[in-house]
Amino acid sequence: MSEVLRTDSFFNESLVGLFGPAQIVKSHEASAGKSFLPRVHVVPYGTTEIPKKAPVIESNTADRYTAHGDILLLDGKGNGRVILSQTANSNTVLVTEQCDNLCKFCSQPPKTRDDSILFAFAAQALIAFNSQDFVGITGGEPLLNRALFLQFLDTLKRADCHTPLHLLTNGRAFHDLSFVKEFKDALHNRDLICGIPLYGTNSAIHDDLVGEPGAWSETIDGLINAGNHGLPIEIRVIPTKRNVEQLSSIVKLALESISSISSISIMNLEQEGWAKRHWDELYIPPYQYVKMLEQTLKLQHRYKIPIRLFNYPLCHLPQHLRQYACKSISDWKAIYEEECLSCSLKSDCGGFFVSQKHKWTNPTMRII
Amino acid sequence: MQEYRLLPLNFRELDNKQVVISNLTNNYMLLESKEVLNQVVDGYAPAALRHHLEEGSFIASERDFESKVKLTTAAYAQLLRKDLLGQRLIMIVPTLRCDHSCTYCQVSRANQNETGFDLPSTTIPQIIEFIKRVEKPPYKIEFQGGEPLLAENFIKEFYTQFEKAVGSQNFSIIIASSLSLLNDDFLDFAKNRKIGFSTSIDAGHYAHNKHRKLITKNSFELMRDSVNKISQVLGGGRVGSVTTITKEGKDYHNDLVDVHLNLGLQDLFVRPVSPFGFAANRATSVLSNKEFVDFLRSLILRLVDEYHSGSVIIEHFFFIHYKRLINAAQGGYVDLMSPAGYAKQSLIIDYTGNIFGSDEARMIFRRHGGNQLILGNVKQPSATLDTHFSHDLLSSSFNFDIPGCNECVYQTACGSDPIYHLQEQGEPIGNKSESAFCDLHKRVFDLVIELMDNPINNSVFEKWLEYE
Repeated sequence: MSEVLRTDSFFNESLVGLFGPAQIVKSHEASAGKSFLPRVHVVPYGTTEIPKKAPVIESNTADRYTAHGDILLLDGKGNGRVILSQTANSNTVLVTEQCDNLCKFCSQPPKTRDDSILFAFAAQALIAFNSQDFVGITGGEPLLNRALFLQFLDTLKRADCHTPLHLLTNGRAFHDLSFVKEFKDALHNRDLICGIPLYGTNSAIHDDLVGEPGAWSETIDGLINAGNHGLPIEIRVIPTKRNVEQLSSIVKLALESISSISSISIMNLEQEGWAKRHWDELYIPPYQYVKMLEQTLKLQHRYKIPIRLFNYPLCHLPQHLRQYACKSISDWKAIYEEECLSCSLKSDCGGFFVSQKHKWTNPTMRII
Repeated sequence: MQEYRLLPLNFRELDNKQVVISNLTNNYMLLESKEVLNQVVDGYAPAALRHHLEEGSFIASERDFESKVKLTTAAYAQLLRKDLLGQRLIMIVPTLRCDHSCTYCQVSRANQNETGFDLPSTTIPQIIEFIKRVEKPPYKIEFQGGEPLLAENFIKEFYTQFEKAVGSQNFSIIIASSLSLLNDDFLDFAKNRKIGFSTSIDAGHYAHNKHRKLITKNSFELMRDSVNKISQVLGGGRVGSVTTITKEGKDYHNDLVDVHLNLGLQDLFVRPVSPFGFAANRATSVLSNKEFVDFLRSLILRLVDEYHSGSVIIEHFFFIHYKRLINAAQGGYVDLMSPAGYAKQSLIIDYTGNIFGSDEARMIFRRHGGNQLILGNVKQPSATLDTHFSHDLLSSSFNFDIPGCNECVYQTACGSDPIYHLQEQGEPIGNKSESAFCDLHKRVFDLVIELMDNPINNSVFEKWLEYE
């Protein structure tokens, strides 16, 4: 029995007992490639020539949303989720659920159990997928276990996997200069961008938002060190009620002090994980800080570094700011409300987070 | 923040009694009075200012103090890096001959028909070898004079050989010319080639023809006709202008803008009469720095009005000062850097093949001599740069530790020019209280602060950044 749980998640009895990454094989391309991972065949419903070797997922939806070579992560109970997909607009692998920050708006609240096996899964998945496009590395805090991360980079290198990486980190590990050097050495010229969030121009605001006293000063040290070693940095800021007044100052502080910033991302709050619990305390609708967004976006002309808006449905932005919005919500996370179907900008719009369904959206600003 | 610690700052009282403060992050704030400054320094900053002071790294909580010091250091390192990196502008003087005899000429020109004042075209391969040896692509080349169009064959030959040597994508050429001698043949050559022109347009038709002397007294008309022809034949965006402001022109800022509007030119650059070289002898038409800055103020206010009525014209002397004051990415300007731009941001090869670190250095050499200013000669086999003397000059141009600069509120935005002070005071640092360079740039920065304080002006300056 096959069941499609979401466009990227499947249950299949034949998957029971399989654990970790597996690679999807499309029957008509079965000859292509030899994966060292377990292989899972995906075929459209009613295919007569079902490959003899199980496991097989027989489903039109699964067939439509997957491609030959995509990577599934299996939980041993028959559930599989596509983690690396050639058709997705971006791919991300999770390397740990542990974290040394406890952000009030964390979309994937951290856990404390030992999950170092995730690094092994991630390495296997990346090597088998062998993408030439950027793949995101996320957590938790990927650099919490520094030795493991260096080993992870080393494994990729030894397997001749040159996939460029986008590492989402709080940057605190880089406050240790000797680690920055080891990290840089372990890269061996691999393209890697560090996405590092900065939520305040001072510790009072930043530490409060990330729930960890001392985090700001370590992140500042980390940013300076990483920048000075030429690691390309994407600064990420999430405007909330607590720091929206500082938005342009945060961006300016980063741009004037930190070397090798490649871009700035302003991220709309995602109603997921702990953010739900703190929604009223944190969320501020974009129309209430349009002036601040304008002031912040202007800085890109001064510093000649792109500043972009992520996770903003276009209808939440005034027309003159829409050009800075990126279609960023992961495919499976994006939804479009019924009203959106008649919107002329739907094809350019990132939509709403699926987690926001039936919750707060903003009906008054729909349809353009 | 109840209690705070003060980070280092510099300050300057303006004519209107407001006080500008700044720090090594190159952040600026305007305080209402000296009293407010005293409150800030004494730990009683007005509550309404504390956020701004904190965000500008002027004050910090005890807990954040160390991080703010690190951020300040990092920001200052970024500023230095900006002035240390970047491409050199390589200038070539193919001839010293000129059809004009301008009253404020900086170089000591030679008459049009004289011999012995041209760079022979046999040196072109050596020049190209030299450029490739000392600089990386994309190369920025500028032909200076004299009147470079009197050596148009040299320019054509250079272009052809250079394109072969480095590839057409890897360079651009500007010709600094009065445009009086521009002919159809050369225009035709410039088609589909990366050649731009920088021409002189003085404020006021009368002042232009008075100071930019031709026997026929029609320098302005010839320039105007040539600019129009360039637009017709080559399209827009090929011409920039330089304006020298003299006593006769100082009331003609509107005229200057109208001329640029009529000619369809977006960029202009005004400067006072150069105190360098031979212009220094002919002081009759020289404006005081105050008169010059008053002219600049009127000009910029007119350009702000023009922006609001739909025409974008940018004056770059002011705009460079603005960009340096707000930390903008493209604030590099060879005359206003720390360490100075001399030799590291510019080189000039004159008609003898001698290499100098800046146009000003060649002028001083022409007037006063000083063999140390010659960094090499392209005719020498495998010519490189003798940087021994330049090194000494550059190490005297780091305004962080120069007396008078180190405590100036504009230190991080400003620069230092050792060649200027060598000429003015006989040594590269100079007494800044007697330096006309210092006086001029401080006045222009004051003007920037004054005009930026009005949001209507500031929003136009911010828009200008989008045209870069």
